[in-house]
Amino acid sequence: MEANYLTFFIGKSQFCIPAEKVVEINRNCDYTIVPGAPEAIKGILNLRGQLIVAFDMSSLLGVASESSLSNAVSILVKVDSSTISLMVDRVGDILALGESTFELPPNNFSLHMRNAVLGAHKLADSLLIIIDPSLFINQLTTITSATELLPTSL
Amino acid sequence: MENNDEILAEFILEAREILDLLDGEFIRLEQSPDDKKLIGNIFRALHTLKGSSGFFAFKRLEKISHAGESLLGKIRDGQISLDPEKTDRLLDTVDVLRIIIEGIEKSNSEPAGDDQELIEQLQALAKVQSQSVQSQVVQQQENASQQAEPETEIEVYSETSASSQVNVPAPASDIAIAEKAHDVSAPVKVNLDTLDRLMNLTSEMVLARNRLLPFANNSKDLNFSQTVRSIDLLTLELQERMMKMRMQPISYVWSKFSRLVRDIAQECHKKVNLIQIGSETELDRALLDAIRDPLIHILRNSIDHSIEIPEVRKSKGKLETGNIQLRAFHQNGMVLIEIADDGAGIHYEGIRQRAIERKLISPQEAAGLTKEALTDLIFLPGFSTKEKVSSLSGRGVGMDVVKNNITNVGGSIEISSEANAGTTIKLKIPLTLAIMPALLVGSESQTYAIPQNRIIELVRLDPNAAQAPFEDFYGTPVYRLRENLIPVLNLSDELRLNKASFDKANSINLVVAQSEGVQFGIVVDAIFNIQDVVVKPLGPLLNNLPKYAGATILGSGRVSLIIDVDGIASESGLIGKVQPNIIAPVLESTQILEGEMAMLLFELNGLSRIAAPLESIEHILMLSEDQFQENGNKEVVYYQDQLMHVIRLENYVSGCEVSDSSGQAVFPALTCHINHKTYALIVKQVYDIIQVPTKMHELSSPQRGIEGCVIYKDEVINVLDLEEVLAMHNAHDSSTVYPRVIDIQGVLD
Repeated sequence: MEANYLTFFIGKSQFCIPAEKVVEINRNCDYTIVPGAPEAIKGILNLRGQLIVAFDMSSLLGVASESSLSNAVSILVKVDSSTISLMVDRVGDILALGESTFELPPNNFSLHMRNAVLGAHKLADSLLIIIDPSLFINQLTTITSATELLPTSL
Repeated sequence: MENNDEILAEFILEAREILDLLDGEFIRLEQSPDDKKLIGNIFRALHTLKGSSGFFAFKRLEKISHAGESLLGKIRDGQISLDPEKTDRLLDTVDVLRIIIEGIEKSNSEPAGDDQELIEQLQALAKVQSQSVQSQVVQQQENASQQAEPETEIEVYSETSASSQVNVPAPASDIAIAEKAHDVSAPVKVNLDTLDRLMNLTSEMVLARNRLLPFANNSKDLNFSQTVRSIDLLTLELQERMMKMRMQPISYVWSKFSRLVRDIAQECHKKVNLIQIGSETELDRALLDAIRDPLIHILRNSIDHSIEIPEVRKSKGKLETGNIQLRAFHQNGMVLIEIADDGAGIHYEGIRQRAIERKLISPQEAAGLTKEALTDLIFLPGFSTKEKVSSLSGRGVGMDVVKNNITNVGGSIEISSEANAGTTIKLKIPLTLAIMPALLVGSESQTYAIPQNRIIELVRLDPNAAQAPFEDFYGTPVYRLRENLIPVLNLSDELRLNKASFDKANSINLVVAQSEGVQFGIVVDAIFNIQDVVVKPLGPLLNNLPKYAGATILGSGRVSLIIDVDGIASESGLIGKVQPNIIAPVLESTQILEGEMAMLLFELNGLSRIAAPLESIEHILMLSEDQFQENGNKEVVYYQDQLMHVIRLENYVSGCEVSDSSGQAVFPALTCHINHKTYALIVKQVYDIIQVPTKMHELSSPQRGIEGCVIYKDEVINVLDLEEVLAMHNAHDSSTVYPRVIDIQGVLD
């Protein structure tokens, strides 16, 4: 059984997300910053009257962005019932990949990245990391509820 | 049994409506027990419920409603009469039905429970006094049917109910009821989410139209411009209709109150009559939910504290039954809700004593407090004058919560009371939560919106002044606002945009806001304008940011965050650090002494000093000549999505010289909003806001456009008669709305 994946780039690194979650891709990245929001949240943007939270994928994945292209493209992804935007440098091809190439992260995989990475596909020359937005959204909501207990004025 | 979810959901909705209706109708029935139409209504409602439960095979529901129905049937046929005991049982019945319905909603099946006792009580009540043989037979039939198989049960029920329907004495009223029932069922129920989505689309449509308009203005293609114009008009109408769709009559909340009042009154052993006026007044759905609890609390207070027990009332020469009047109406774009009772009123001495006991104030201070200041004490957390704690009130959790809830939705609360005459509580609520006026400010090249109702004033500080704008309160910047020191926050610091300091070269804009009684200043880089913004929630991902009340989409399509004034204040530690000085008189009263009112002083051509009451003026604008446009034979100005009728005051006020204004580039204009129209009053110059005595001297001979005069600093100042001016303005041409139609008629004649 094959599934489609949309690949995208941040700097020189390539990642992918399951294509069935993608709603649309656009270049209108006029977002408004939200001071005080978690670092991974770039801001909010207006998609036809709907407020969309935009995630800074380079900060989330810890990869440096290509400065000229930084956050040039926004991939709108549907997670549960809400839509979020993933800000990436550019999008690549859509690949159809089967279960045979899929691998879960190794046991000693960084705990931090487990909150974003679902697994990887073995390509001929590299590993294509699969990002699952629902993972980091869940993690973010638990973090934000935890920070409520901490003193907010730093 | 497998129940179709959708039909079941509909059933639950219908059942809830019926139960709400029953609550109200029973109370009305108790007051007029002989109202056959009312009994008919209740009977029918219960019958509908019974029928539907039969369909879903909800046996518990069916049995109880049947027992209630047969008791009602007897009452309707005049075999037995209604007394409080029967009403109580019938209301109990409604309660049990409600519990069952709630259970069904949760689990899709009936919750277990034994209602035999209630059913027997109902049956016993139905039996008492019933001498007619026929009713005995019916009773037996019913008893038998309870043990019978379900199929036959339904048959027997329908027989009895059918026969009792034949017995209805007044067929005419029956038809009326049927018609009424038909009317009620006509509207389509729409999910609130669907409405919100439609609302979003509409506001987006408005933005798309805004982008389209410039093209049409520059285009030479007439067809194109006309099409755009009709899109423009349609969008406007669409927007208005959408706003109206979210509105619901206040009776949505009030309908439950008659039952509530009855129950509380009984618990307190008092007799209370609830009068509802203006229940058709419409409010945004979200606001209705927000005011429900405060209203319930106020009603409880009124019954528990204010209304006296019947014996005391009698000895005071009042009727034994106390009255509570709920009145709702629109005023100045707000909804006013008045809760007035004719009870004992507020016991001011009690408040004074209590405040001293609780060491809130010293006895010396207490002695000097006015009624108003004492009233404010009621709103302090944990304040209650009730000696004993009851289940209803007296726990001291109360009026402060009420006040918070009301102010949170942008409303205000006011209490006035007179000993032995009663207490009146006035709530002012904005029409809608979804749209609110907000001040747009700039900080570090970002635009933020601050809700207007939290802003007290704006101050512009000159950086070149000899004195530094802010004083240093040992590390904390403060500003001296007319002898009051207020703490100052920098918006960009609070939002951690950067570490900018106060000593900037350019001028400083200070927004003076208030949170929980604490006044403070917020420094912003720029102040833009006040505009109605559509409030949108930030969503679950950004939920824990207390500094924002939401976000809005500006005309440019960009998102702007709405600042939560309370959030900013508490985040910065202001509310925690500074407790409001409870003895300090309330803000407004520092400026305005009793018997004085604020007036705006301005100049007209030939009339150097004329004033208008400040409360009637909304804004002061500067309009330039090219902003004036013709609408038929009237001058209008299109300003911030509003059409304003231009009134050149000098044409209407006697003593003015009509000037040739063509040379003047900008005109100051005072805007006012009267009868759903906005007017721009053109004046020559605006001077000041003055405090003048409310007492107005009448003019010996009436003069056009002038109501009278007031004395200010030994100077006579004429007061504008706004109503007369508007009447004169509108009389020139009573139908300003469709001037084009009139023109055509003129041609035809």
